[in-house]
Amino acid sequence: MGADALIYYLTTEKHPYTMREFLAGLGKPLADRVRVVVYSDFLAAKALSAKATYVFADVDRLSGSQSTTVFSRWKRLADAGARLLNHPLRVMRRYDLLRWARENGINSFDSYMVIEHRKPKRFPVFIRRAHDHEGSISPLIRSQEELDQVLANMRAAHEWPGDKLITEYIDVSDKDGVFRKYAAFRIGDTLMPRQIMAAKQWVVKRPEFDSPELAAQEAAYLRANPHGELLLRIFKAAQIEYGRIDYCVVDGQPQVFEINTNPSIIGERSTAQVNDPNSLRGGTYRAIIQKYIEAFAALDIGSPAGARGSPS
Amino acid sequence: MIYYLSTQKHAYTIVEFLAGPGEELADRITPVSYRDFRAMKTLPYGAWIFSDIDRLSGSQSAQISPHWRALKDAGVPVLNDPINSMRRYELLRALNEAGSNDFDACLFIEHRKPTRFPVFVRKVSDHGGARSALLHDQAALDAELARLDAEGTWPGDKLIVEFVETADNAGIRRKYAALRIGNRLIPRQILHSREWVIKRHDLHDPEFVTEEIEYLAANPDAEKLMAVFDLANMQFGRIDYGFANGRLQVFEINANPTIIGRRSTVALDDPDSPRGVTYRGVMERVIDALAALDIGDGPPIEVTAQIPDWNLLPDHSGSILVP
Repeated sequence: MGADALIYYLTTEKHPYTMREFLAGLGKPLADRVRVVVYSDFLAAKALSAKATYVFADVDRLSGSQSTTVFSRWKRLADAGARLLNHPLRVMRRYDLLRWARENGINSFDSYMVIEHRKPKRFPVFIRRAHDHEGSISPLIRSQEELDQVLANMRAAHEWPGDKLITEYIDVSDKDGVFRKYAAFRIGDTLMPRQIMAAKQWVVKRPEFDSPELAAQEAAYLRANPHGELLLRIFKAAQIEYGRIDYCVVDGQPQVFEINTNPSIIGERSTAQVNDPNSLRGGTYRAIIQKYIEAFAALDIGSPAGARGSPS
Repeated sequence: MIYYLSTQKHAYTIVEFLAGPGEELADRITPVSYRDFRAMKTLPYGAWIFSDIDRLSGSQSAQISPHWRALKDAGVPVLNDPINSMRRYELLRALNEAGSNDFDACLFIEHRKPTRFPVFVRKVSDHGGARSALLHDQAALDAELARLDAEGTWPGDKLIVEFVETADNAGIRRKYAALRIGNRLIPRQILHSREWVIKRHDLHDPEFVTEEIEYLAANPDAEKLMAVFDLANMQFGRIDYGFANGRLQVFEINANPTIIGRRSTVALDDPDSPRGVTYRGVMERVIDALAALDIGDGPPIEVTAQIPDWNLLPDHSGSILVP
């Protein structure tokens, strides 16, 4: 790892594409200042520059022993004065975050590990993995009996139960049956709203339809950043300085689903809209990307905004 | 043959046993590390003991699942299940939820607060015992957790356990242990101590020796213990337990227990040791139970299912919830 690159973006072997694709496309203005490095190379590097910023992305995919190994390098970099984002040990992973949000009165729904043996207090629930971003791996489960059967089937199929979460479902659809998922980035000191995705399904992975009203609603959200204060509080509690928070809003109150520490910055569809002068959202997304680039560039320890050192 | 699987670092339990009191089984039991096992595409016919599974992570457990299934399909004796045998945290939670254990345990990352104190902190996946003193209130617990955080330790494997008092009127605490080997439940020992963390015989008064001899002869808790092993889906291991207010309280099941420690081995060979005869009896039962697993010769067993590629970096020891 040479000394010229000023921001190192660290990911697991399988998931460097998020930042790499961005740098090859709309993030090109950052390309000469950012290096994407996988953790195994980071750990094998003989020398690391202390005059640099390191974004420990994708930490939710590291195990305990991996996080501890990565932390030994974090510590040396911290002692040497590098700017570091996302403490590999302290960053709350999904379950930790969901439980914290529940215990602290932010989330109205609870989440349980399968191996915890606490029973959900309300149904429906669904099952997902603790560490991936694939969403639900079960349909909605409507009773304890049904849940017991699903879990028994999982055991019979010899599926590892230790990473399975049971999460209480909350219905966030409006009167027209539209589900909205909100997302916002934290990039160092900047909290920037990213999007509202609207879908007819309860698992919202991409926008399923569009309308001038939805586009206007999203534009208003992006301008107003109405949940910024609370979201920043959640990011701080989770000790995450870089990531994207996914949430919904029920009765005006944000309900957090997760924070992805290695998020896609802009997907293919949105990129196409950025480049389409007739798109409803093109202008909005161009502004978002500009803001993202400025916030990310400000992480550079050599930039005026980035000279403050590590936020943690 | 019997194949005894363990992590590479912790093979000493079976190796020392076979080099000592279990010598007569040395040509019938082969220790195999999980690292070597994972690479095997053909498994020799025999009984397989999946010991030490509490030290395997999720991805390590998943990677040996095809091997475990191939053995089960072949119909050979297979003790423990790397996927579905309960580890410490799950067992403690299941026993508390079932109303069997009166004390609870929660992970630090659960953010549940203990409902009673004192508590202590330990790691989920090792057998090093308590990592803290007894903590008598939430403030003391918070301070201890902050101290561990400042040390730079992984919070995901920190377990907060409610302390259960097992002392009698004279302040003597007893930790009982029993082995399960297949279908046999063999009482192993009672450790007497005035300490709350009991790792060895601290007290050697004649009445304690007599009490232990009577316990080993009577095997009074066999039925209840077998039910706990069944709940945990474990066919091999040592259960550690005690009694509080007359109720059996399970502390853990160690899937790769020391079968006999160095001190006890010395006692075996000492004709004047009060425990020598007793322990010789226990060792005979252990040897018989292990030998009974041996099913003789048969064809090798192919592992045909694909081994899941779930690794990100080579070492995943001691983690739950994450790959």
